[in-house]
Amino acid sequence: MAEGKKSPNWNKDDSSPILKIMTLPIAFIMIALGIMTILGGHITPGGGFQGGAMIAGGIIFCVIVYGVDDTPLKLSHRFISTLESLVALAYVLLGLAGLALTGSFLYNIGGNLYGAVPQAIAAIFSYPDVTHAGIVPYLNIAVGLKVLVGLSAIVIAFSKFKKLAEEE
Amino acid sequence: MSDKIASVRSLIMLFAAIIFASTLFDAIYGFKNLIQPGISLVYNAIGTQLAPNMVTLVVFDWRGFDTLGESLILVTAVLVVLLIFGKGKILDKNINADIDSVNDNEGDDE
Repeated sequence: MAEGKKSPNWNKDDSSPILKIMTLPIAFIMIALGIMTILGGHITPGGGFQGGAMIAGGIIFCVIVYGVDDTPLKLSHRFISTLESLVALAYVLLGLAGLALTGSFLYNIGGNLYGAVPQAIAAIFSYPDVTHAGIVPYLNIAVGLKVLVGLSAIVIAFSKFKKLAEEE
Repeated sequence: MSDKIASVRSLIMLFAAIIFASTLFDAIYGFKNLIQPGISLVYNAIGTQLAPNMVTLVVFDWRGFDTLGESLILVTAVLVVLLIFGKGKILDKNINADIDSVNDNEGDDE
């Protein structure tokens, strides 16, 4: 390279500017697609697990490119643990509602295929939709959030371990 | 003292193992009466009254309990990753400071 020309200031540990510009929009598109997959779980193929993995893919992309400390989609320790516990609790509580009302765990109260629940109670749990999916979309959303938090927690943990290993 | 705790712990383990094993064997013994042949055909016939997508219905409606365990596997994976590789290093600095002070206090007591 010629002596007079200066390459732009670029830290070797940072990722390339092209990646830094492109990653956030791509991550947003991935997250939007994942939300669509979760919310359409009962009418299209796919569901909570797949959609949650797509959202986690967007977050993991940001963590890898921007680094775990500077990532724009930052998930704190408290947020991860709170969301994980709340969503697991929501799933179990929906199941327990079925157990309390009909005697079988995770009975689809909103769908009410066997007519075991009064119509007034079934209307509360029914998903406002043209289909009669009942609690299936709610379980979809719960599992999606759970998978999203779990998968991104593993990657965030591994990148923090790498940083700790470099410090020691 | 620690011997006493260990013996109490093994007693609890014994009772838990007995309860678990008897439940399991009872379930295996009585499983013959629980099987309804053709339940899959019945569900295939009536399942689409709930929602158009049969895959999600099987995963979340018919086998909802399985899905609960399946998503708990991920929690277990995260826990094991943090347990094996982290050993408590991953926590925030504030939380770590609390744990360090607690550990120091415990060390003083002993």
